[in-house]
Amino acid sequence: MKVDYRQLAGKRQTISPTNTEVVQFACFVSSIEPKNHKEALIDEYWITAMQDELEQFKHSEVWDLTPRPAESNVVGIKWIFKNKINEDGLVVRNKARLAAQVYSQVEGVDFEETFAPVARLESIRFLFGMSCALNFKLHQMDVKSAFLNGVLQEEVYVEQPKGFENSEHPNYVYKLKKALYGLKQAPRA
Amino acid sequence: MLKDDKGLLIVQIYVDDIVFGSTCQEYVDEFVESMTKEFEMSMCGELTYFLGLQIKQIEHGIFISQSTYAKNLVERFGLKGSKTARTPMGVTDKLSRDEAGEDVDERTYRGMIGSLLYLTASRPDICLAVGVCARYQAKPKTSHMLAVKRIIKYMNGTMNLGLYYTKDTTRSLMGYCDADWAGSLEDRRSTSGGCFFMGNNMVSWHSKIQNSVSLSTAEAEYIALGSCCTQLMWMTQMAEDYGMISDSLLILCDNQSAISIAKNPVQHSHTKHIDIRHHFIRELVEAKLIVIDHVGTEHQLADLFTKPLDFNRFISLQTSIGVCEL
Repeated sequence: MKVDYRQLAGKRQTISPTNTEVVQFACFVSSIEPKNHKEALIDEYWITAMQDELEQFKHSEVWDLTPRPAESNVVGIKWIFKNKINEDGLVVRNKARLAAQVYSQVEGVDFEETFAPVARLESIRFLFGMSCALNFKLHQMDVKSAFLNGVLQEEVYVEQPKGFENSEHPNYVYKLKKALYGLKQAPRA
Repeated sequence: MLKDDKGLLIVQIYVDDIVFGSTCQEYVDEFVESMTKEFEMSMCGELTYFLGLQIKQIEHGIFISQSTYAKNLVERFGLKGSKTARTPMGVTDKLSRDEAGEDVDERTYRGMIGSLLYLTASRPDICLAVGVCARYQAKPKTSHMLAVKRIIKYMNGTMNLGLYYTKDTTRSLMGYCDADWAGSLEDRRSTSGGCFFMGNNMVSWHSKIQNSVSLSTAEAEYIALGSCCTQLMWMTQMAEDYGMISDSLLILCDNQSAISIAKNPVQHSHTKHIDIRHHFIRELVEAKLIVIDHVGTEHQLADLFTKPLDFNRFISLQTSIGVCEL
C-alpha cells in the first residue's frame, strides 16, 4: 500500500491497542519518513534522531571544525531519514544518518580506490554447517555505526550538516577524521 | 578463528554484522566482553536474522529461510492471488533466444531475476530455473517472462520452505556432480551442476552453462567434474581455516566414462582435444586428494541443478537436499 507521507505528516499513527508492545512503539517513534531536513526539523522525534546521530559523531570523534581550506574540494553532506521496521512491519526506530554526497568526490583527490570487503553467502552457510557438525550455538552482534570506526587516510572536508550549523562559525567546514556514510572510502575504512 | 584444547571459536564478519560461535561458552563470553570494550555494540544475542536470512536454531539443527522476503517478492510482482505451480520449471520447457517473440520490459525482467537470485541463498530448488532465465536478460521475450512468472508462482505455493541443517551429521566433505549434455538449444553447450555436502548438510551448490561445447556426454561430465573439484577444494580450504583437517574428498558422478578419463592418465583419441585446464582432476586423483565414485542415476542429487524434473522426482530430490518446511 502506498502512503502519502506528506499527508500523514504531523499526525501520529493510530493503532488499535491490542498489543502493548505496539502502543509502546507508537509512542516513541514517528511513522513518517521526512524527505529532507526541513520536514524533519518540524518533528520532535526526528530532531531527537538527528541529535542522536550528531552525539554519536562527537563520541566517536569523527570530525573537527576548521576554517574552509582554500584549495581542497569540500564534499556536500545530507541527512538521510529512514524508519527501521521490525518483522511485523511496525516502525521501531527513527534513524537519521548523515551521508556524504559522493558525486562531489573526485578520484585521485578525495579517494584512491573503492571496494568493500564482504563475505560470501556460501561461507555463511558453511559456518552453519560447521556449527551443526560441532554442535554449537551461533550468536550475533553488530557494531553500532560501523563506518564511524574507520580512520581515514585521505584528507576529506565536508560541509556542516543542514539545520545544525555552528552559530559562531557558519562558514567553517568539518575535516573528517573517520569515514562517513556515503564516502567512497566508507566500506573499507 | 581461535582453537586450542578447550575449544574452538569462530567469528565471521560481514561489514558491521558479526556472527560467532564457540564450542566453549567461556570463549563466547570473553569475545563479547572484549568487543564491547573496544566498540559500541548493539543487539547481542542468539543468531536469528542475518543478511535477510531468517535463522531458527532448534534442538536438532538449524533452519534457514527467507519466507518474509519471498512473500514480499510475490506481492511485489502482483502474483499473490495467482495459481501456484508445483515445480519451478516444466519438464519440456526449453527456452531459446526466441528472436521472433515479443519484447518485454527489461527492467521488470531483470528486477525479477535479481530478486529471485537472492532467494536462491536458502532455496537451491529454484537455482536451475532462475539460472536458465537469467541467461536471457539481455533481450527478454514473452516466453522468458512466462518462465520467470512460473518460478514466482512456484514460490507463491512454497514460501515457507527453507534449508534445514541437521546436527546428526559428520564433518566429511563430499560432492555430487552432473552435466546435461548439449542442453542449450542455441549453441549446444552443456550445463554443469553440482551440490556439496558437509556430512548430511548441503552447504553449497552451483548450476552453470559450460564455456565450451562438448562432443560427448562423457566430456561434458568430465568438465563438470572439474568445476566440482574446484568447489570442493575451496571447501577444504575453508575447513582447514577453521582448523578442521579433512581426509580425502569424495565426488559422486553418474557417468562411468568420465570417471575413467579422470582416473586414467592416458590420451585417447576421444579425449585428446579436451582443454588442459580440465585435466587438473587427474593430478588430484593421483595424489589421492580426491576420490571419484560412481552413483546410480536414482541417487544423483545434482540432477536438480542440471535439468528440469517431473513433480515426483523433484519433490524426492528436494527432500534429499534438505529443503523442507519447519
